[in-house]
Amino acid sequence: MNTETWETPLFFELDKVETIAEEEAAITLDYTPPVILPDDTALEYEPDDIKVEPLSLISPASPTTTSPWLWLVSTLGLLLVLMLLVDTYHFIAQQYANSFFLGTLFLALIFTISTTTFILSRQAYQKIQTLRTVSALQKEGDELMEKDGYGHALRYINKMVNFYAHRPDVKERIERFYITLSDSHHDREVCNLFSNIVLKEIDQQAYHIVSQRSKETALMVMISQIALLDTVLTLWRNVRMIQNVATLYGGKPGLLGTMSLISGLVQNLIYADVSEMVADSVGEILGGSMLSVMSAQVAQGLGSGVLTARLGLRTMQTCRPLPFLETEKPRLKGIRREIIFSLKGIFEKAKV
Amino acid sequence: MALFNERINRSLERQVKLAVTGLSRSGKTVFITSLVHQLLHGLEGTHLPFFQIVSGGRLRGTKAMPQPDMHIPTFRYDYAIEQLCGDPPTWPKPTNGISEIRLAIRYFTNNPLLKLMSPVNTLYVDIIDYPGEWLLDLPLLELTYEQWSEQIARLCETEPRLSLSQAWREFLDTLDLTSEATDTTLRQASQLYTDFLHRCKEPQYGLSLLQPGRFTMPGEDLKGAPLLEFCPLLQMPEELDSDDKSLYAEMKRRYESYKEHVVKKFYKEHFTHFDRQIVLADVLRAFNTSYASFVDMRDAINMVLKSFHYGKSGFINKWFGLKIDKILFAATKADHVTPNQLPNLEHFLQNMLATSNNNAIFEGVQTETLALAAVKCTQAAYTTFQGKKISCIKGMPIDGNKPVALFPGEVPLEVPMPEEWIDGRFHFMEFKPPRLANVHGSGLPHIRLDRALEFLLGDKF
Repeated sequence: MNTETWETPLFFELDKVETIAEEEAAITLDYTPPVILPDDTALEYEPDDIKVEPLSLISPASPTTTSPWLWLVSTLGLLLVLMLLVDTYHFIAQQYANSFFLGTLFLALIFTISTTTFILSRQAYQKIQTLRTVSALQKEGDELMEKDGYGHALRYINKMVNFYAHRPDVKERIERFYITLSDSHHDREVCNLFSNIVLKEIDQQAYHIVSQRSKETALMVMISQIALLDTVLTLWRNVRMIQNVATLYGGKPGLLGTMSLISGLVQNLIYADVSEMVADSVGEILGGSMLSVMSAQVAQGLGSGVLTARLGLRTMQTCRPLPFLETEKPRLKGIRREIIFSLKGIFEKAKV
Repeated sequence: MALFNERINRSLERQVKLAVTGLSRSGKTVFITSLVHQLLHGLEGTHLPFFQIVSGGRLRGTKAMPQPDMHIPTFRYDYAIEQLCGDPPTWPKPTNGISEIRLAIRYFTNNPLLKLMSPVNTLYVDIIDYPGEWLLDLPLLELTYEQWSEQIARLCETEPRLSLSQAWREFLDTLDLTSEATDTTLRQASQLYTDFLHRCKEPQYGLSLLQPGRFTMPGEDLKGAPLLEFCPLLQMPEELDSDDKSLYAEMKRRYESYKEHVVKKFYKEHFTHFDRQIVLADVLRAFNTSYASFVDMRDAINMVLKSFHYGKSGFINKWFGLKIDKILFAATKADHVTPNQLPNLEHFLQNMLATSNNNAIFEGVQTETLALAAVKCTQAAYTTFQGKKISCIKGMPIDGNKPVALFPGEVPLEVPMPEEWIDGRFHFMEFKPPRLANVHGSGLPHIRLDRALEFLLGDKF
C-alpha cells in the first residue's frame, strides 16, 4: 500500500472524529452554561437511588466453570442421592411389609433427619451469604473511595446501616453519623465519617480480641511441651478468634462459614503484599532474636502468637464491610510488643 | 522576658501564628469569624467531624484571650457575628484596619511522654485580620522606584487599564519631570492616580493588582498624609543630581519613605513570624468579571506569596526566625457551586496558583488545595431538568428576597481561553448569609472548614 502525502490541511467533521477518552477529559471544549430553574421546579434533597433493596439480593456473580471434573462430581453426587432415595424407599417399604408400627417409626425418623439437615444447610447457606454480602460491600466501598464522586455514597452507607440494623450497640452511633452528615460531603468524606464514627469502636474491640487471643496462644505454646499439642492449641484459639471477630463485624459464621472464611484468609495470607510482610516481619525477627537467646520455648510462643495476630488482623480486614483506609489499618507492631511484654513477664517470674 | 517566654512557647509548639492571606474581598474576615466561632463552639454539636481533636473528644474548650501585641486593636469577632446573624443577616463590612485575636485551645494530649508531665495542654493560635489591599505593598519591598514605575507602565499598556488610566497619563504628559516639585502638582498627580486605582477596583473591572495598597485603603492613621502623595512615572528622566529638587526626585523620595515607614513597618510587625498560612482566593468572582480580572488576581496572589518565608520549621529555625511550613490554598465560596463541582474548583485553583505551589514544595513546605465555604449559605438539592437528574443549589440571592434554585454552571478544570470569556458565559450568583436561629448554641454551617483546620493545626496537638 502506498502512502500518500497531503499538502493541504484536511478538515473533518467534529462528531465523526474519535478521540481518546482521557484526552477529551483533559481538554474541555464546551462548558455547561448556568441554568436558572423555574420557580415551580420540584426539588429533592436526596439522591433518588437511595432506596435499598433487601440484602439477600446482593449476590456476587459466581464464576461458571464447566470442566469435565464438575460433570463427573455432579453426576456421581446425583447417583449417590438417587441410590440413597431408592434404598430408603425400599427399606421403608420393607419395614411396612413386616409391620405397620416399625414402618411408621422408621419413616418418622427419616423424616426428622431430613428436615433437620435441610434447616441446618439453609442456615449455613444464609451465613455464607452474609459473608458474601460483606465482600460485595467491600468491593463497592473500594470503588467509591477510589474516585472523588458525589451523591453515590448514601446508597452504599444505607446498605451498611441495613446490615447493622439488628445491632442495638451500633444504633446510637449510626444516628450520630446521620446528624454529622452534611449535604456538601463527598463520597469519600461520607465513607471516612462512617468509618470514624460507627466502625472505629468495633475496630478497637476486634483489635482487643485479636491481641488477647494472640497472647493466649503465645503463652500456651510456650508452656506446652508437646509439638502436636501446640498445633492443636493454636488451631483452636485461631478458629475461636476468627469466629469472634467475624461476629463482631456483623457476619455470624457457622461451621461452614468459618471454613470458607479460613480458606479465604489462608489464601490472603499466602498472597499478602510481600512488602507488608517484610515491614511486619523485620521487627519480628529482631525482637524475636532477643528472646530466642533467652529461650527457644519463648521464641516458639512468640512465633505462634504473632502468626495468630496476623491471622486476626487479616480477619478484621476481610470481615469489615467498609475497607480500611491506609491510615487506619490495624498494625501488628502493637500486638507484638504486648506479646513480648507478657511473655517476658512470665519468663522473668519463672526465673525468680 | 516576655519575648523569651514567647520563644519557649513556640519551641514547645504551644503557639501557632496563622497567616490568613487573601486579596481584598476574598473573605478573610468571614473566614476568621467562622473559624473563631467553630472553635469556640467546638464542644457543642457535631459540626467539625474531620477536625480530629474535636471528633476524638480530646478538646477541652476554647477561649478568646487578650492578644500579646497590646498596641493592635482586638479583632471584633462579636461585631462580625452580630452582622452575620442579624436580622436581616449581612456579610461583614470590608476591613479598614489591622486587628488581632488570640485563641487558647485547651486539649488532652496524646503524646505518651507529655501525658505524664501535663495531661492538659494549651495551644495558642494568633490570627491577624487586615485589609487585603495592604498585602500588595509587600512586593514593593523588593522594587526600586524605577522598577516599580516600569511595572505599572507595562500594566497600563493593555485594556482595561489603558482607558481607565487615561486622565492620569494625560496629566503626567503635561508635566516636566525635571522641574521643581510643587505641592499642588504632586497632590494632583497622586489624586488622579488614586482615582484610577479606585476605578480599577469597581466591580465591573474587578482588578486586584493595585499598588500601593494604602492608596485604595489608607487606614485610620494615614488619611491625608503627604507620604501618600506620589505616583509612578511612565517615563524616567535621564540623569539625576543628588540634591535634586525635581518632581522626579521628590516622587522617588516619597516612594522610598512609604516603603520604609509604611510597608516595612507593616511587614516587620505582622508578617515575619508566621508558622502556617492559608491563602484565600475568590475564584468565582474572577470568573464572573473578565479574563483580565482573572489574570490580575492570579498575578497578584503569586506576587504576594513571594514575600513570605517558607521552609521547614526545624528546631534551629524556631530560634532564628520562623518559617511557614504548611500552606493551604483555599477556594472560597464553595457553596456557590453544586457540590459535585468542588473537585473542579480545587483543581482550577491548583492550576491558577501552580507557580506558588511549586515554589513552596521546592522549599519543603507541605501544601494542600481545598474548596471551602466558611459560612455555608446554600443548600444542595437535586432536580429533574429536561429529563435528566441534575444537582443544583438553593439560596437567597444577595439582591433579592426570594430564594432561588439554580445550577450555577460548570467550573472549568483549566483556564478558559480569553475569547471564551464572553459576557454571561460565567455567572456565579452571590448569596446572602443564611438565617440562623441558634447561632450561639453551635457552630456555623460550613463546607470543609474542619478539613482546613485539621490540615493547618491538626499536627500541633
